[in-house]
Amino acid sequence: MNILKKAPWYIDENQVTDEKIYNDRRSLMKIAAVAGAGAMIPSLVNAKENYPGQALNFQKNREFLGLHPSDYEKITTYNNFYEFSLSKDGPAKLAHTLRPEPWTIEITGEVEKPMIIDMDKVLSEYPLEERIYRFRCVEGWSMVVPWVGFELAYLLKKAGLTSKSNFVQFQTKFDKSMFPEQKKEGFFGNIPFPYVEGLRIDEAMNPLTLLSVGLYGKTLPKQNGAPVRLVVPWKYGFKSIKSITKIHVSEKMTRSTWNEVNPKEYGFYSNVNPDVSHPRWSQAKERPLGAFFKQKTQMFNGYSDQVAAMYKGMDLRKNF
Amino acid sequence: MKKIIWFLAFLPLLYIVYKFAWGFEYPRYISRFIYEHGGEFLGTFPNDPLKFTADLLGITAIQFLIATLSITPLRVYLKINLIKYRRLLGLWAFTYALMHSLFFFFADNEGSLSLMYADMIKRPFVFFGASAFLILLMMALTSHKRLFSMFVKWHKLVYLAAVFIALHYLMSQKVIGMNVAIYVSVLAGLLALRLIKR
Repeated sequence: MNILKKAPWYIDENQVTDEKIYNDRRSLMKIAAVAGAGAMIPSLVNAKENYPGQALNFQKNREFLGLHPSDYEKITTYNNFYEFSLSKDGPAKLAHTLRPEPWTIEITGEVEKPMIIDMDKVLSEYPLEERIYRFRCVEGWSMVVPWVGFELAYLLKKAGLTSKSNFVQFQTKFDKSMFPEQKKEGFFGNIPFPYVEGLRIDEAMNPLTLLSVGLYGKTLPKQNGAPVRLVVPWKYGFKSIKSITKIHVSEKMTRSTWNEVNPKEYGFYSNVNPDVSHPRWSQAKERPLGAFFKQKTQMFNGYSDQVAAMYKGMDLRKNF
Repeated sequence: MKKIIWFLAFLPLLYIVYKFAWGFEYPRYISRFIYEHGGEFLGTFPNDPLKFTADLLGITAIQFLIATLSITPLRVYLKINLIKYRRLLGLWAFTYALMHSLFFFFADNEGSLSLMYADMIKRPFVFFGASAFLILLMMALTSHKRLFSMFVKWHKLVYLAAVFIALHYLMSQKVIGMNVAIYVSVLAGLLALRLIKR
């Protein structure tokens, strides 16, 4: 039985689009695109595909409907997923080796009830919702993604926090048969694996922080971090770790991969901040995927209202 | 041979045009015609057009620079004499470096000299790129027969430019990948051959 209290912004009616209607919509768009004036070619090409993956049962969160999502094709062909490739288009081509089923998440450390949960159980237990978030990469590009997922806080509450629960570390699955780059070591390796990321407990419990299991209404494509990934929209993209298999709650600040690889360039917090440059480029502007002109980057990626209070009194230049 | 070089030199530019051509809006009859005649084979608009263009122009410049620097070792070690194509290759290396720099200046810096200056001071990899470009510019300007004989000594600076370009390329990366490692090793190899000869 679902005993979780539903948040006030839930829409009552079942809003899941039937797959058939969804496909029809695509073909309708295709016809409209051919017939319509000023049709763009890429959309003609895109209109042909039905997004792969299983349809998810979710509700749209009205609070996060205001943004226009990037094309599905862009979101799924421009990825940083170093377990597969250093290139942006590599993951989409190589991620077929990832096996998202069966999958478990292990919660350990400073929690009342350490546990191992099956992904199926996670999917049935927590109410899924769609939220359209901005996504800003530390490299200077950005996109808008309609994620499907649930608040990480639900899962952490279930495990039970203690007075020593100060930081949360996440770990990407380590399995050389699934992730080809994990086979490479030392000189030929790119970054150390398994990939780990961390959040302070208040960041992890913030209602914006999602565990995402899908995008565009379907289960996550493998290159986007199937079957479950973190989404922290006010931080640079690399904090939103993919294909999570372990969550460790600890008393002391946790390790995080990019911070260890290059501490001068990537801080633990890595909040989106147009005023603090990366040592090699400015962060004042960003390149939305598919657009030729840059746009201004917003403080905390536009989520100041929800998150700025957490960093009151901190020097964001030092704690970048 | 010269025709082949010219053809190869235009390929990256054609590729850029091809990638960008289908991203804009066209009158209905054109888009319809394209769609009916094989819309499947069209490329898609680059995901990150600014980075795509800057990277392609830069890497092509490096490829032409490598070709230019290979002429002497080819003659010395393999007795293949291609010296008469060196100037053309070098000028194409310069042309791509010029396009790369102009693109960086206008698209990335939005044509602002002060931003460019700030970038040079704060970001060593931009400084190395710009220094290498100035050397190539000097070489291009003095590559004409008469001037070349006067400036031939100065053209040795191309090896310094190669070092700068290797640093520029290495420092622009988040993690050193295979491609970068290969280009940089080739540049280093060419430099080493010159040093051994001495």
